[in-house]
Amino acid sequence: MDDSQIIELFFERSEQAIDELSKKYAPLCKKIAFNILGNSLDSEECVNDAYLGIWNAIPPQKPDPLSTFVCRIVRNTAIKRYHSNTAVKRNSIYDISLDELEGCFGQLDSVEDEYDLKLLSREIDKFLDSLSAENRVIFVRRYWFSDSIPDIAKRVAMSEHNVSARLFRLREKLKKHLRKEGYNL
Amino acid sequence: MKKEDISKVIENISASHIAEAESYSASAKIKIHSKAFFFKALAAACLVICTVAGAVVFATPPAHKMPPSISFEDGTKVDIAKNVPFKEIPETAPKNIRTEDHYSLMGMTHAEVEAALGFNILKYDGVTSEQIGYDTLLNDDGTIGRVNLWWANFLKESENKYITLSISMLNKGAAYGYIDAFVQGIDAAGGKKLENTVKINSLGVDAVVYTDRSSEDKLAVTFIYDNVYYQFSGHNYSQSEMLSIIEELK
Repeated sequence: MDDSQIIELFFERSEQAIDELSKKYAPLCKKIAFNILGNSLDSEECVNDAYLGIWNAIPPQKPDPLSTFVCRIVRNTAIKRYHSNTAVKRNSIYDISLDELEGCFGQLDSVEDEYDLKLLSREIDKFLDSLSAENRVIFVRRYWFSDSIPDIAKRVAMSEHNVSARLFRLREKLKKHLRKEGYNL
Repeated sequence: MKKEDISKVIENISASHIAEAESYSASAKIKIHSKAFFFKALAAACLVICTVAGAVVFATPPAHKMPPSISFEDGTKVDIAKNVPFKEIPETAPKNIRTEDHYSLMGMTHAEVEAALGFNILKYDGVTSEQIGYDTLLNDDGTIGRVNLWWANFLKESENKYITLSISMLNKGAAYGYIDAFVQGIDAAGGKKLENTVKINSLGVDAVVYTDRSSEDKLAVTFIYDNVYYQFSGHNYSQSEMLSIIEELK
C-alpha cells in the first residue's frame, strides 16, 4: 500500500491504518528504536508507543514523506524512553554516537536556549548541504539514525575502517565549519 | 554543551537529509573506473555545481519567504500564494490539550470558531453541519503556531457524495517548523495529479484543482483566501459542481 493510501486510512480513523503502517515500516522503526535503546523488548514497546503517537498526529498532519515522519516519531519516543530508563545507558549505539559528537560540540558555550539549538540545527543543515551525498548519508545514518559502523559500511559499500575514518574527518570538518560561522568551540 | 542538547540539535536537522539517508543504498553509487572519464566527469560536475550553487545563492529566497506550494507526481509545482500567509490569532483563542495518550479535536460551531479566532472563515449557505473540529499546534513558548480546522460534514448529499473541508492558518510568530511544513506542502499526500488552475471570481483568488491516487472518486480544490488556506475534498463531484459551490462561499 502506498503512503498516501495509509494516510487516507488515518484520516478515516480506520485501525487498519496502524496495520498497514506496521506492515510497511515495522522493520525500519524497530531498527531505529533498537539503535537507541539497545534492547529488543524496550524497542518493541517503543514502536507501539510511536504508532499511537502517529495515530494522534494524523490528522491533522499529512506528512510527506511519511517514512521520515514515522522515523522522527520513533526516534523521539525512543529517546524519551532512553532518558527514563537508566539501565540502557552506556549500552546503545545512540550513546556512543552522542559521545562522538560531544567532541564536536562539548566545548560550545554559546547555546543557551531552544532558539539557539534550532539555529545550530540549521547550521548543521548548511554543513550537510556542503557535503557529497555519500558523506551526508554517512553522517545522518550515524548521528540521526544511530546506525552502527558495520551497518553504515554495508549501506554505502565501504569498509568499516573507511566509514570510521570518514566519520572522524566529517566531525573535524563540522568543527571547522562551526568555528567559521562564529561558534566558539 | 549537554548531550541532551546535542541530541536535540541533531533531531532537528532537515527532513530532506533524513529522507535521503533513509532511502540511500549502495546501488545508488556509480563506480567509474576510467581515470580520464573520471576527470572529465569531475570537471563537468564542478561546472554544474558552481552554476547551481550560484543560482541557488542568488535566486533562492530564504525558506520562510518561499510561497506555499503543491507538488505533483509529474514534477510540476504550483505556488498557491505569493508569500507565506500569516494571521493574527488572538492570545485568548482556545488551545487543545494534548497528552501522550490523549488527543482530540475540539468541536465548535462555525460561529464559535469565528468568535475564537476573531476573523471570518468562509462558509457556504447550504452546509450540512455547522460543526467544525478545531485544533491548535503550539510553539515552544506555549503560544499558538498553527490552527487547523476540520469540517468533516461540510456538505453531505449521500454516503458517497460529500465534501470535506480542511482549513489551516499560521499565526504570526509561528515556529520555523510550522512555517516549513506549510511551505513544503500543506497537502502532502503523494501521487497527486494537477487537473486545472482556475480563478474563483467571487473571492478573487486562484485555485488549484487536483486528484490523488489515494482515492479515485476524490477531487481537491485548494486556495488561500485572506491568508487562510482552504482545501475542499469532494467525493464524486465534478469539477464544475465543486467550483460552483466554492463560488458561492462568503
